[in-house]
Amino acid sequence: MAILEAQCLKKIYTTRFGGNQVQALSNVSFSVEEGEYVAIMGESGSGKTTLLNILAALDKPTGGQVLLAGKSMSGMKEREMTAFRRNNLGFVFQDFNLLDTFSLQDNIFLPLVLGKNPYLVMHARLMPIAEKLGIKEILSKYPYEVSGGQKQRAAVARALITNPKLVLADEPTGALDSRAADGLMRIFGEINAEGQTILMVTHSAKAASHAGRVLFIKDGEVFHQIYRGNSTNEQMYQKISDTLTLLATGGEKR
Amino acid sequence: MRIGFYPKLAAGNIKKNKRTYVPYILTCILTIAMYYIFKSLSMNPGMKKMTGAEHLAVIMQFGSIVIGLFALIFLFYTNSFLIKRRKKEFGVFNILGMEKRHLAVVIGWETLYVMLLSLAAGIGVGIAMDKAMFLLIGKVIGTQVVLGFFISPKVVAITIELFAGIFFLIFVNSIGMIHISNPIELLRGSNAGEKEPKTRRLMALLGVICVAAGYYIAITTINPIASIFAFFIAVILVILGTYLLFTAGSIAFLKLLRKNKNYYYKTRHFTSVSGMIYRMKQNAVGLANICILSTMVLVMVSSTTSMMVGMDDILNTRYTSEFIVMSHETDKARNQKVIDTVRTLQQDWDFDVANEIEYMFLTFSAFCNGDTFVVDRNAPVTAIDSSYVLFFITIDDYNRIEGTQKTLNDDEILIYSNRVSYNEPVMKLFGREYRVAEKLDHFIGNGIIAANVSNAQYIILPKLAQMQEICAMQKEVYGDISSDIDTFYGFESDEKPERKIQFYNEIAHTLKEQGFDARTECREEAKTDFVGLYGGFFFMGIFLGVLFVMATVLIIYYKQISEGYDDRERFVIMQKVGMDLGEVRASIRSQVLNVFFLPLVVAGIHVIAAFPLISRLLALLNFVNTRLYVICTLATFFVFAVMYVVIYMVTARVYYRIVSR
Repeated sequence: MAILEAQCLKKIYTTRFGGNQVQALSNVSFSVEEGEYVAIMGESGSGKTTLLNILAALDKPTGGQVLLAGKSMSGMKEREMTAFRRNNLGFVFQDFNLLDTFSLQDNIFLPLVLGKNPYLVMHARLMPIAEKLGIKEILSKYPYEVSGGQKQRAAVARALITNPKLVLADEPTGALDSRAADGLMRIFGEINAEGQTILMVTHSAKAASHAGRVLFIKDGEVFHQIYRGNSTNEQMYQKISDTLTLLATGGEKR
Repeated sequence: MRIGFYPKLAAGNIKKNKRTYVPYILTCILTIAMYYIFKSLSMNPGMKKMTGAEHLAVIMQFGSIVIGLFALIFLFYTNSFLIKRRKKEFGVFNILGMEKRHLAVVIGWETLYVMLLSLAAGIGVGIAMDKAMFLLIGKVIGTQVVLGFFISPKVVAITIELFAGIFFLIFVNSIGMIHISNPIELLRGSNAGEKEPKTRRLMALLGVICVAAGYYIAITTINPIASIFAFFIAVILVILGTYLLFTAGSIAFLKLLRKNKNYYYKTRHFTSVSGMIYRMKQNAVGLANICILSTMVLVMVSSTTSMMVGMDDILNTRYTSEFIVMSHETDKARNQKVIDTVRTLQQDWDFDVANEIEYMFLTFSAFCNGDTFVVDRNAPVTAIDSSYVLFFITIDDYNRIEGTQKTLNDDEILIYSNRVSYNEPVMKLFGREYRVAEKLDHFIGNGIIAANVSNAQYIILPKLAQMQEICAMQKEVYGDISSDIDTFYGFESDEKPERKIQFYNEIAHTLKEQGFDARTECREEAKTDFVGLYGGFFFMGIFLGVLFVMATVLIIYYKQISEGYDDRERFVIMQKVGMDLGEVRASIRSQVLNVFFLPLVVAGIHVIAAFPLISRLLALLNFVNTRLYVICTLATFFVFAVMYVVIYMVTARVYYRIVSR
């Protein structure tokens, strides 16, 4: 069953003065099945982040609609939407978006506290996740006291703790060194293997090579997509590189 | 670089940052104007012609020093906030290739612009308001003064010198702030990796102890003589305690809340408790400042207002009759002669006379030890707390004055206490024991005693012979500083004020000419002095009150804005993680409300705790109308709270705009 469906998404930005219009997305349609691990690739300015924001209902499309678990998010009220987002989506951001005023543990608890869960439930849910992500020892530390990789793992824990239907990741390796990035990708692979659906936006071929399917966006449209099939990560990386070269040299859509 | 580059850049910078610079420049202008007005008033030649002007001039002099100090501290505070906000901007300049010394030149130009602008506008506003204020004081004091438009070049010069100095210090401070940080730090500016504040339990505890001790002194100090000193101790303890409580106490308390998991992990408490911990770290000192300033405003305005409003009460307590002649002659016959002289004058002048009061009295001081009053010339000074003024009068005089028919046996007395009541069944004096037949709740009073800051016991004796005996015995102990039995003569009159004063001068002149040892007082004449003094207090109270309120307003405004910028990112993240706008708003409101009203609430508590002490201090100034004081305090608090709420609403709106942009 498709957990996420994007239908003919269109987004046009209008500059504040004068009607200078910029088309970020012209026509994007795709769907994500339950348990899939999808990466979306594209150059800077190709509309990746716009797409992710629309998928996350942080932004409204100019045309088209997004169905999450079969439900359209366009008609929802702000309050409903927030609750829906909180219960169904987990976010991992490039710059972590951890709050300096909270310890890592409290940062991870944040969505649960907003969802009004009792402390014991939160604690019981946290422990296995923290163990899996290897952050059990540093839970009481503050974001400014730990490394980037540790911060990002805490952010992943925050995304996972609500048992979301879908994890959305926006350039999760963007602010990490290569070792931390590898570690994070391994974690993504593991949680996906346990059945977690992941949609990741990235422009790192290395990161995308861990995904089960890679979508390429160019000029606001889905330009191409690659399935992993039985390829290894290395073969996948090769395929992605080839496609990127093709994109960069201006190959025709096939 | 091209000439004119720096001045242009500096002007551009101020324009770009106008949201923060406009209030800052306004603050500078107002502070300068206030200082100018105060200084100019204290030096105005016309002031000398006004009644009670000597008092006022001293008060004004003192006031201008206070404002100068205040200006220094406050402008420093607001400027360092400004520079902190602009660190990122300076960081960009730095990275683009401007050296620190170039930055210093830019900041120098900016400071110069602000200084020139605010000095010109400030002195302009000051001169305009000066005239208005002068007329206002004249109105308050109740004398007609027609003054020319007074512009003193000397005052202008003093103002310019002082504020040029202050701005120079501000400039040096700004450069210092820029100089010690490297470009990366500058770029990150004020929101670089904030650490969680440490819990300082010892300091929190010390704060509690300080405030408690201050309150204890304020509430328990009975004797007004001791309380002048106690007052300062209490004030210092409370100020110190307030700072400690706001800085260490608040954080210790919030962390305690955080330890309680069932309380902390609730949607409502989660963000606000953690947010408050950080907020208190940045704001504790500012909030403590606001709290102390508010307390000062409240105490100052309420006490000066009640003194002004209750002026007649004060005069009536101090001057029990409109005209008072106290004859201190060697014997009863000569005392009588003094009064006869006054009576003759009344007839000569055809002066309206009513409510004549005449009695003989004896007064000296003694130390109270249980039910014994000890008369000892060499008593230690530390015994001042138990020091009393004893005031004796006979039952005959008492009955005549009060129109009563009381009788006393030879070993019985009546007693009236002005401040500390006497609760023993007997009273012992010079080895003799008297039974207290009755404790009186009213007595005609005597201005001399009212003017004395000691506690007094008014003792009504059965016979004149007993008074003479006591007089003889205290003469033995006190020798050259002993008292005599004096005669009091007081009366009221319906004449016009000018004629009253003329008549008073006539009495004083005649008695002196005829060589009598007598003291004359006139309420009407004292009134002009009192109005001068209390009018000065009042004016100063209102004036400093306005100044402090203005400071409070601006501190709060700056706080809200600086926090708005810091909080914006935080709330953006929370929204991404799943907090809806309503929750964001509620969380903001609860934090802002806490921060905002904490100082007001604490100030209110301080005022309540200070109440007994202040009312006793006012009693020293003959102000004993506690009800009026309560009303004035409540009214002041109410007005202040209303202003506070208005400021809150205005700033909260600005804050929302910043956070939700």
